[in-house]
Amino acid sequence: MDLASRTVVVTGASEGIGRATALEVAAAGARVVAAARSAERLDELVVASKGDIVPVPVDLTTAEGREHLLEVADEPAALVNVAGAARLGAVTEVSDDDVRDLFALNVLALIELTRGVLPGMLDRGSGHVVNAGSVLGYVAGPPLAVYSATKAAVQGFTDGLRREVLGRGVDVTLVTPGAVQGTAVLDRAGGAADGSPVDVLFDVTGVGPEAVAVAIREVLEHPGWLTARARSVPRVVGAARLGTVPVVGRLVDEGTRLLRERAGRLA
Amino acid sequence: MDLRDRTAVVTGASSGIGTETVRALASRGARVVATARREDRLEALADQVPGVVPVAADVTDPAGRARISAQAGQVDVLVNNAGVGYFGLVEQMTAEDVERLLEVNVLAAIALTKEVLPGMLERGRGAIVNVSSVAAFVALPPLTVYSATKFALQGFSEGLRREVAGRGVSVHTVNPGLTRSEFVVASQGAASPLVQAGFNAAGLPPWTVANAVVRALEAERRPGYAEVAVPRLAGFARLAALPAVSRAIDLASIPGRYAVAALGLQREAAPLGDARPGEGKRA
Repeated sequence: MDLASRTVVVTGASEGIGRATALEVAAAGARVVAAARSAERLDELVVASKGDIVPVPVDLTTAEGREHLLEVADEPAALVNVAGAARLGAVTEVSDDDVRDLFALNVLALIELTRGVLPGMLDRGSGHVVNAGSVLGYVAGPPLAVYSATKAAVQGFTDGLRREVLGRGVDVTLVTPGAVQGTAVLDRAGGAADGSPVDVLFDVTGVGPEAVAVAIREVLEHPGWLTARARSVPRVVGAARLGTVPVVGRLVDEGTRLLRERAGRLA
Repeated sequence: MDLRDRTAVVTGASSGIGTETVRALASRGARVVATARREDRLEALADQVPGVVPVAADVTDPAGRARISAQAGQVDVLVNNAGVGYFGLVEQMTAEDVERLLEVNVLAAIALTKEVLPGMLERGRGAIVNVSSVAAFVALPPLTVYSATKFALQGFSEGLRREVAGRGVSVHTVNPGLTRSEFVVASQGAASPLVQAGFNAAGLPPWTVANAVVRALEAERRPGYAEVAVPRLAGFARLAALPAVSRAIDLASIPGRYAVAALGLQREAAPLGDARPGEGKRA
């Protein structure tokens, strides 16, 4: 898809991967409809970009918020679902409300937005939905077990949807980042301090959000024939898929156990 | 784990896999707290099987979950079996359907797990069995959103088992393929072409899945958890995660879709409405 003057909806656009994606796609000439909760940060985004960005401050966990966004976007050519939240902590430390909020944003809002744009895309026989998953959707682990579950759900939904619309003109892609620098988006349950092993791991081994944004733009521009399925950033972390193979899964079990025993707690 | 005199909680116990699991655990000498919303069925089950404590409760309701744990006391085994199915295209679902699937299949299981886990960790003993699905390995339309919920349950189980490994608590999943239960009937209505086509009767008998639950619990060798597909062969669906296999499934999904459409199997998806957790449900 040539992005010039196409409308692309990017959610979670106020920071991290979403923000970088909005900038990247706008720079490629698209009209970006940028959604996030913070009007202030979206205004900063508009100032930071030389491209065409329409800020839409909304709460995507509400039906009204989603409707409003889709109204402003008006039959977008592409939807990039980046908005997501995480709670770092043991399962027992994450409250029931937090679990609910995580699923409401990471899964339900994503599915509902997709369902909102899908009929139009299928009618026109063209469109692209890009969902941000995570390597943790392939290999779940503490201290992000609940977050992992939400990203696994995104992966399952994306796989199924791709198979549902394949050959009907609509592309569906899962982008799975590994560690991304700057874990400010990771809220902490149980009051764990910054500078945990997870923070260090992310900052040392992570890629910048820009790298993920470039991958998303590339996928939008060149979905390819049947290749627009999954794109890991960096590509090598796609090897995490092997985690579903039982013997590899066991190795990961042993690895996390050793790590936990050494580090005390991960969060 | 030796199940004798242990307390087990089974959700979705009023039919299908849940009922059979209650029987199987009770036959091993466990005290089984059987929960579902339909009290009459639970009462009937308790009359038939000694050692069963019926607790009518809605697992999606915090008060219901509190009632379950109050009645159960110290829980040694939790079997999260309640779930609802849905055959239908993503674009045909209602927002309420999507929400209901997530609510029952994922959020209730996580919440109930959180309810019993602290006690298990404190005692250094316990087991959680999540009844997942082959759809947790491979997502296929018209089960897209159902698959998403089972992917989530699988991911949660995997993350949790790594979190609690070595602390005396094990987390298993049992992943059945199509099971002869109320799954299809509950999600489609008895008049649906799927039911009429005998799709339901083609499935595994629920007791085979219940046996897998017991096997998972009784296994004591390393790695300390089980992830059992029923039938075993269905475990190869895990390979769907690999790119080449995934692409092959993508390609096969096109003729598959036409076949489903030609048979008129997918248009019948009726809103779930008040579909009950525990009304039979694996695909």
